[in-house]
Parts: sequence; C-alpha cells; structure tokens
Amino acid sequence: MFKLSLKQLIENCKIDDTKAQGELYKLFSGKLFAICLKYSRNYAEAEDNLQDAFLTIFKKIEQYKNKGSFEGWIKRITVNTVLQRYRKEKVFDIINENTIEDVELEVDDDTVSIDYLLKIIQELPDRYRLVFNLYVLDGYSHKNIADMLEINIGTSKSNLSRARLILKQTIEEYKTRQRSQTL
Amino acid sequence: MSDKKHIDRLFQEGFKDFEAVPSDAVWKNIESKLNKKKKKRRVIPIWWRYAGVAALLLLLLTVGGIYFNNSDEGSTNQVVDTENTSSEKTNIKSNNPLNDATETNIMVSNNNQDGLNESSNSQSEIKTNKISPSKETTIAETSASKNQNESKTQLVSSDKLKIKKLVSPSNTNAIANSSEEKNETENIQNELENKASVANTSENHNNNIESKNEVPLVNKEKAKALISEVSKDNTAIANVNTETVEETKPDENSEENKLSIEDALSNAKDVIEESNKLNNRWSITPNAAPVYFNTLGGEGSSIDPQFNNNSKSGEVNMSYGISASYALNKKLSVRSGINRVNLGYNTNDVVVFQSAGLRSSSSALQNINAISNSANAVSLISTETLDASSAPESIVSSNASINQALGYIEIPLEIQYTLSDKKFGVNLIGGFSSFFLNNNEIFSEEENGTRTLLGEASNINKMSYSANFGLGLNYKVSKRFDLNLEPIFKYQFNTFDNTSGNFTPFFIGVYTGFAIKF
Repeated sequence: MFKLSLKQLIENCKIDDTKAQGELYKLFSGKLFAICLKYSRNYAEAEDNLQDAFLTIFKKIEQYKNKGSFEGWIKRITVNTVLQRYRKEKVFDIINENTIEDVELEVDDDTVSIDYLLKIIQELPDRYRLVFNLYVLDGYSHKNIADMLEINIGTSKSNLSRARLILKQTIEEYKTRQRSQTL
Repeated sequence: MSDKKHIDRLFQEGFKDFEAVPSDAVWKNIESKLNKKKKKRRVIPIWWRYAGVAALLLLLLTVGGIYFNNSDEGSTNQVVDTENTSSEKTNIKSNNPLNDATETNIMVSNNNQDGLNESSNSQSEIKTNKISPSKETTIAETSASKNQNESKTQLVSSDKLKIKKLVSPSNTNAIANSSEEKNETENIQNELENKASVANTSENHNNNIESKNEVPLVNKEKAKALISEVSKDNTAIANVNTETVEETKPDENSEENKLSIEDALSNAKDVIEESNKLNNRWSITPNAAPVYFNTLGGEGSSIDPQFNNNSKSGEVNMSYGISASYALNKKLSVRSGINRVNLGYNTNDVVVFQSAGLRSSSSALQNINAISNSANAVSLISTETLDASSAPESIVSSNASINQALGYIEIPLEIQYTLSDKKFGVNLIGGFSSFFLNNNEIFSEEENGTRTLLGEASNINKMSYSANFGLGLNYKVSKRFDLNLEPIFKYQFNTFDNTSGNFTPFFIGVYTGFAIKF
C-alpha cells in the first residue's frame, strides 16, 4: 500500500471521507498530542483537547487552501483550541503581576527525563504554563501572546519570568532530592 | 557536576521532536462524533447554500413581478389621465346643476343647454382658482367641449368604464373646494355632497363619505343630515338627488346622470372583476421535497455487472428549488423553475477489503473512476460471487454497501391542468426535466458508518432528462397565497451510459411549497 499525498488526503478529508480522516489523524496525532500535553494540566485534559482540536480541524479543513504549511496550520488550531478552553474557564485573571528581574536561570545540565519536564510544566499555574509554552517552546512573541491570551505584554513577560523561576526551583529541588537519595 | 544551562534551552532540547501517542479512545471518540455530525453537516450547509440561491431567485422574481406590475400600472396610468379629465368633466357636470341652482335664484326657469353652458363656464372659472394648475387645462377643455353642446349623458356614458376612477382623492378635493367656495347656498352644498356620495358609493367606499364630507359640513348641519340620510343607500341618494335637483331645477339631464352613474357603477364592477381574474396569472413557488431514488428493474447495476443481483435500496434525499408558473387560461398553466436535487442509492451485500498488492481486476469496477493514488485501495466484491464456505470469516462478515451519490441541477418544464378549482384544488401535472450533473461520488459504506470515497462514476451523463407525471394538491389560504403538495414521479432517461442488466432509474418527490400569486 502506498501513501496518499498529503494534498490528496486533505482533499478527501474535505468531503468527509472517514478513511482519509483516519489517515490524517494517524499522521499528525503524535505531534498534536505533544502540544496538548505541554499546554494542558494533565493527560486526561490533553486527550480532551486533542479530540476537540481534531474535530475543529476536520470542520475547518474546507477553509485550508494549501497556503502555508498544513502542519503549521493544524498546530495553530490545536494551540488555539487549548487556549480557548482555558480562556473559557477564566483562569487568566488571578495572578500577581510583579516582575522578577535578574534571577539566575541556569540549571545543571544533567539529563532530566522528558516525562519529568512535562510533569512540572503541567503543574505550573495555567497562565504561566501557557506563556512559557508559547514563548519558549513554540516561539511566539510577547506581542502575539498578549493578543492570544488577551493580556498585556508586561503581564506576559512577568508570567514568563515567574514560570521560569518556578521551573528552575522545582528542578533544583528535584535534583537535590535525587542526589540525597543516591548518596 | 555538569555544565550550567539556561532553563529555556533545557526545555527546548527536551521537547524537540517530542511526540506522544494518545490512547485509542481518542480516535474512537472523534470518529463517532464525526459520524454523528456527518448527516447533519451534509444536509444543513447544502440546504443553506441552496436556500440562499432560492432566496435570491425569489428576490429577482419579486423584483420582476413588481416591474411587471409597474408596467401594468403604467398602462392604467394613461387611463387615469383620461379619467382625470373625465372626472373633471363630471365635476363640472355635477357642478352644473348646482350652478343652475344658483342661477335659478336669479333666472328661475332657465334649464336649457345654453344656461348650462354658461353655468359651466362660470363654474370652471371659479374652479380654476381652486384646483391645481395641472387640471386647469382639462377643465378648460371640458368646458369648451360643453360649449359644443355635448350632452352630459353622453359624457358620462362615454366615461362609464372609467367610473371607478372617478372618485380619486383629487376629485373629491375638488368637490370639497368648490363646495367650500359655495357656502352661500345650502342646496348647492347638498347637491354637491350628494354627488360626492354617489360617486363614493359607486366605488363602495361608504366610510369615506363621512370623513370626506365632514370638512365642508362643519358649518352645514342641514347638509350633514341630508348626506347621512343619503349615504344610506344608492337609491336614497338617487331619490334625494332627484328631489333636490328637481326642487331647484327639474332637469332631465340630472336624472340621466344618475342613471348613467349607476350603469357605470355596474359596468365598473364587471371591469374590476374581469381584471381580477386576469391579474393572478403569475405565481412563484419555492419548494422543497424529499426525493426517493431507486431503479425499476430488479436486476441491474449502474456500477458493475457483478452487482446485478445485489439488493438495492433507494435513499431519501432532498430537493430544493423554486418554480414560476404562468396561467394560460383558467385550466392550463405552464411552469418552469430550477431545483437542486440530490439522489442516491445503495448496493447492498458488498464485501470491502483492503487490497494491498491485490490484483487490480477485482478492485477496478467497470464504471468507477477510482480516485488517483488511492491509499485506501479497497476492493469490493459482491457477496453473491463469493463462496461463503471457502471465504475467510473476516471478509464475509463485513457486510458493506456501495453508496452512489448524484447531485443535479434540475430545470423542469411542466404543464398543469386544473381539475378542481375550489378551496382545495386538484391538478394534473405532466412534463419533462433537464438535469445537469454537479455531484458524482461513489462511497463504500461499512456497517459501522465508515465512509470511504471510492471515486466517481464514469458512466453518468453530464446532462440527462426525465419524464414527469404527478398530482398537485393545493389549498388556497388567500387570493394570493396557496399551499401546495405535489407527489411527482420522474422517470429518468439517459442518466447512465453503460448500465448492466435492467437498470432503469427513477425518483419520486413529494414537493411541498407555497405559491405566491400576482
């Protein structure tokens, strides 16, 4: 069996061909689920978000006119789906906005497992998590983030600093704990 | 101890190429939601899209209708022009006896034509001061024509057909004006009002009389009493009129006037009725219909000979459109329009299986152009051709079907013969339709609802025809508005090029809609 070209696959998805939709899911669910995991609070929510994202993708796929990368397009939809969920839940207006400056943000370059990194990201307060993901892992600018989360740029920056600080402290604690265990 | 590293880099490197496999349940959920939505999504957007088209057509036709109506009014406007002059004539004419009356005070028994002419002249002079300038000329003309000793009865009778227009607002205004002007003589006033009421009743606008009369009557208690008496019925008007006129001036002409007005009244009624009958020739009917598509011949297939004996089940789809009809006469009307129609049927008892590296012969069905690069590469075989005992369990158990979906733009041309024209109408409908293909897809449909696009049929003609027979039932809600229910059978010609066995497609639609007549 040979693969459909992505373009043909997309065309078939546009006419609700279930098989094609399944193919598309197989092709991209891994990458999109990774996004969902990073942006969500836990595994279960990540799965919910992935489901919503794919439903949105299949609904809007008619609007995709082969302009720009398809992967970029579906990733944006996924991120937006997650943001929409947390925007709906109104979690953006509860956080102290003080900025933290000049904090040492270096950590030891030991290999930390991806599972652990994911875990501590998910444990961040919602907005810290979203801003950290958007800025550090997905390369959005503070301006974009401010627009997407309906906050101002300063807030985005301060959220990022706090997220970094929390992550750093968590990792350091984790490492000292590990070291004391191994010693 | 290892090197220090910025926390961003730590995460960026950690999540680079990070992928995770979600549990199978996620896709199951998505799939079930997609299948649930499919029905809705396939129907609703199409409905809205074509409803939009229908609305646009309706709008266009309405505008067209208004245009037609306008052109009608254009022609009647011309009539109105002449009628205005004639109404002025009757104004003058009706005022003539009044003037006579004033003159009878002076020249007691001056009833002859000369006297009339004089009076009409003087009347027209007075009136030209009051009536809008545009009417002056017509008044002048009519008074001139009166000078030629044209008799009033002739004038009126020649204007009979137009009598219904006589009581245009300007006309009564003119009367009101002239009446205000001649407040001195009560008799005159009375007569004037009588005339006005006669004219009014000739259009059956009895309620108008009071409101219009009230203005000049404020001062005239007597006249008011007379008029209210008079306006009770036409004969009373006639009588009172005759009396008052005869009191002041026993003039034959005035009686003739009344007679002719009554004639004109009945004539006008006829005219109105006739024109009503002719009026509602056009009607516009937006309609929607569930359509059931199937084949008449039991054994045959539009897809491949191997499916000749498979059971076929028709699908119920929807058709939407709009039609316009024109009544040739009371019994016959011609109609045409445009419909969007979706048709589909299933060939049942088909086995679908993945055909990785399978020989192509089985996957290539005779009349399907498979989609290019088909990754799905499924093959379909009729269960009839499989030996159930030798076939592997897994294959035989999957009882799938082939779904052929067709979409057309239909342009019907039909004749409708009216059997009954009561509140409930019954019609016979016959005609033909041209179909223009705009959708052609073949899917395989598995039991769990999974649809896979196989390709499109290669043997469907871009254009085809049907013969239509049907019965039309309609319910008249009002003069201009009918509700319709029309079961119509459409026998299709030339739909497929290369069918196997005996495959004669048809469809039945129950068209419901409402007709707006104008």
